[in-house]
Amino acid sequence: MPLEQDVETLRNIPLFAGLPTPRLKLIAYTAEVVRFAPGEVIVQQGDPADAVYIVTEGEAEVWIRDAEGNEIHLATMGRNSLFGETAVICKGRRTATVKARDRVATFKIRDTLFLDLVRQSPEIGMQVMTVLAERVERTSNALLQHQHLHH
Amino acid sequence: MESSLYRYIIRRSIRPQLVLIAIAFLLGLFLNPLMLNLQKKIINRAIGRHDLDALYWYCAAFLGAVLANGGLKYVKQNLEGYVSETMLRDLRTDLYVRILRFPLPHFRSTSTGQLVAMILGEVEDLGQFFGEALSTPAFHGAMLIGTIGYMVVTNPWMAGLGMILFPVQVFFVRKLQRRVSSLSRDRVKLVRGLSDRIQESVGSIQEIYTNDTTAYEASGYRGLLQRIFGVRLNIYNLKYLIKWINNFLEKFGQFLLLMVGGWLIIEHPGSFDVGALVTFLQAYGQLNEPWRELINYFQGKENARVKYEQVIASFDPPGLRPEFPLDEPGRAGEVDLQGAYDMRQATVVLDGTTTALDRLSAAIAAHEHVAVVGGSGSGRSTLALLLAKLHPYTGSVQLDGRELSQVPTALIGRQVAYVGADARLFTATVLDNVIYGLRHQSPPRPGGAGAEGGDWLDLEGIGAADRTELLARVLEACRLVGLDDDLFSFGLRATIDPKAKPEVASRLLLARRLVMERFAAEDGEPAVEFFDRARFAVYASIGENILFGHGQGAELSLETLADQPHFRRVVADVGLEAPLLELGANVAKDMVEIFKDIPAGDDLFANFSLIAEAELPEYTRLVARLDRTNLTEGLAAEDRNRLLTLALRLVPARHRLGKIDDAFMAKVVAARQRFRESLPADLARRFEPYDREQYFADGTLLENILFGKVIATSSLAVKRVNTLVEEVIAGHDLRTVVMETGLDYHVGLGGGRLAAAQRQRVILARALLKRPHVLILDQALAVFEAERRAETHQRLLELMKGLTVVAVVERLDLARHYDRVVVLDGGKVAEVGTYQELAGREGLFRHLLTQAGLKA
Repeated sequence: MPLEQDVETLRNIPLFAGLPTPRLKLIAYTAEVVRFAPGEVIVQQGDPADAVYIVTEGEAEVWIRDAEGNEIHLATMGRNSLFGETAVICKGRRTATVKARDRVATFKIRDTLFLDLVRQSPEIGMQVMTVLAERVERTSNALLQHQHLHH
Repeated sequence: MESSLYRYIIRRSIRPQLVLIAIAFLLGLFLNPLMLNLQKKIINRAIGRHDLDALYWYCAAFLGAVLANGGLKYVKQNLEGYVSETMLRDLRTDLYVRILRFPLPHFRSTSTGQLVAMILGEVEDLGQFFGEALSTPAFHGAMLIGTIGYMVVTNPWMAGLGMILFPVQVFFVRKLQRRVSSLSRDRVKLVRGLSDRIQESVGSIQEIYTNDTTAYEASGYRGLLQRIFGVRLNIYNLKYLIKWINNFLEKFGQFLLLMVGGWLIIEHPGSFDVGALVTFLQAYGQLNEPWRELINYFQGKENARVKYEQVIASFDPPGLRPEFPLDEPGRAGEVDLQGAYDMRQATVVLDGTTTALDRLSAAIAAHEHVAVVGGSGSGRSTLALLLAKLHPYTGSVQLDGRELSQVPTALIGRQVAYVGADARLFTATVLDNVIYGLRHQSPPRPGGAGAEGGDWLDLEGIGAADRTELLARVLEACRLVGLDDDLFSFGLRATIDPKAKPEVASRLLLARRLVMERFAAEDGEPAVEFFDRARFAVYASIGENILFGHGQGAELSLETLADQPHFRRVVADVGLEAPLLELGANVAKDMVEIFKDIPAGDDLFANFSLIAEAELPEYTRLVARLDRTNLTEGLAAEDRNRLLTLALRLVPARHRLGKIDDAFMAKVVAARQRFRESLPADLARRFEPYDREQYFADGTLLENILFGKVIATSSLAVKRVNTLVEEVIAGHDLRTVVMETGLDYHVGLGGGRLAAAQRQRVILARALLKRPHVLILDQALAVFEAERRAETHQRLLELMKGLTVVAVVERLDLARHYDRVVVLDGGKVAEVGTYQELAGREGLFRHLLTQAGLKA
């Protein structure tokens, strides 16, 4: 059953590891499976956010455009990584552009469900904070590096 | 309209009424006495003398008289019915037509509820009276006169005695009836109040709920009904009092006759005898019968008169618009309006007290574009209404040198367009609403076809040769007001009848082929899973996969399929029943597990669950039972049905539940084929299988063009599909076809299915379609998005170049697009000039600009 596989996939993601099976099933069931061709944009910096994504196959690249319009490559995300949560939590616009490097399959979890999860489960809230903190650090490092290279 | 009931009846139905009177006289003066006379003769001359021949002759004559009497009565009653119904129909028409002539301000103080109650309810009772208004008094009057004549001839003294009480009766009945009439009037007023109340409650239901005043409203309503109850009870009492008096006086007459007659016989034998007394008592009885009927008639007549007068009074407001010829093809196109207005001391008073325009003087040149501005209460909207001849006024308003009140409405209706801020549409299609502005030309009447038939379209007036050209004009008008995108999307979601429009259907099939080819040529992730008779479609539900077509009626719909006997047979035959039940059971378990902890009312149910929220407890119990029972045998019929329904709802690729393997898919495809091949003939007629080469009537245009399911798991598939479909449609001239289909979109009650801005666009398209010489706008674009307003104003002005436009603008800065600006204050003109002039100098306009935060 594909849904059972999806539940296993979710269980392997640290963020969701502690959730009971029915919850995982609900996430897997309501999540959309969305596939992307190589090079296709998954989220666009500046767009309104309506979902978070989990990479289930392939790799995706994160790009950010700074004030001067330079495209900076921030990171590459592989299987089981989560992205898009910053904008969803802040109810804002996408902070970076994510593109498919090769053929990428994702779980798309709509924002309201994701926010419910964060609210209801302290473990998930904690995990999200950790991920966010790492992101901030990585982003600022990348920007600093970029400035060094160009100045 | 005639102020008196009888004048109305005589003027509207004198000829049938005369026939009725003639019949009534014939019956009352001739046939009725004849029958009585024959009876007497049969007894005296035939039976009394034992004359058989005479008996046969007289009886034959009697039978003839009975037949003639019955026949004439039948004719009379039918004619009365005919007169009643004709007059009722005509009265209702007259009243409705009067409503259409009410001056606009009158509607502010008139309730629809009352008008409806009057035209439908109050008038109803009049109908019956119309038929008997003259024939009943004629008939009974004739009978009465006949009897009185007979009595006077036999014994004038006793005749006088028989009638001595009539004046007493008349005195009492009139007196009491007057009170009944006054109560009837009260009752009518109260019932009207009831209509008002119902209408108001419906209209203000939001307020009632918001403030929790249901009890208050209900109690007020009950109070009103209680008062009506009291009045009605009083009327009853009086009516029966009248009846009692009549009965008493009738019997009192008998008493008098017996007393006086008896006294005469005993005291003065010879002057009067027993035989004469008996005859007189009989004659008295005969006298009283028509007399009683006449009194009843008088009461009925009084009620009818009161009702009529009360109704008529409500339909005669001052300032009634001129009568219009109902079906005269009167054209008013011979004059072309220039649109030059000259107002001198024009005054408009609202509700008799508020002065909206106060001795206003201003001029608008022909072909000028004028913006009207001013604060609320400045009279700007009233001015717009005035110029469109929608409001009565005093002083002088001239249009092209002619007093506006004298300009025929036919001319205004054809050449002046007015669009206000809050548009109401007619409950019809978009097309009907747009062409409504052309419906002043009654259709030609070949063979006397009714005025309600035909198409009532003034094509000539807008220079369109035929319906095709009209349709092109309509689309052009819609494009000008920005309604085209809406029409396009309405059209894509609408259905057409391919039999009625074979050409359109074949072009859409061509589009379908092109879309398929285009997608086949593209590489990357497929965006559409096209329907293929031989393949299982993973983006369609299992039910759709088996049905694989559209059925008309409930019997072959997806929701009821699980219960359909033919379907059940097919599923069992191909060995699909057990797998479907198993699938259903697994889906049920998953659904219950996933949704059991979701709080009630969460929109997750509506968006994702295969089981409706209300069904969840049932399915929870079913899942519990499943653990104990054997799927194929131990299951109750209802439970089997539930599981099958659930399995049929499943879309494998979307829901990712259950085990869908190749063997299962093969069985589904086999079931699909068998379902179609062995479909009973009566069902087959109502079933359209999916066929690549066939248009299916039940599908929308979009479904027909796409002929498959969008693969939602491919990112951006929806966007790609939309773009491609639009390209194909645009590339093959199908956009017009789709928009024409969109014109048939039904706007719902009063336009409720459209957004406010869409409604307003429809009204604007209507205004433009009639190619007006004068366009008057009163904040017509208020509900538009801000950025569309300026653009639309400019487009309208461009279109109306060389014609007159007067617009109360939504925002002050929009006035800059107009030749001149008129600034109103307190119903008077405060300033006039170009936008630049007014913005450049100290004054009200500049003040308003600053106040609105706009730069001068």
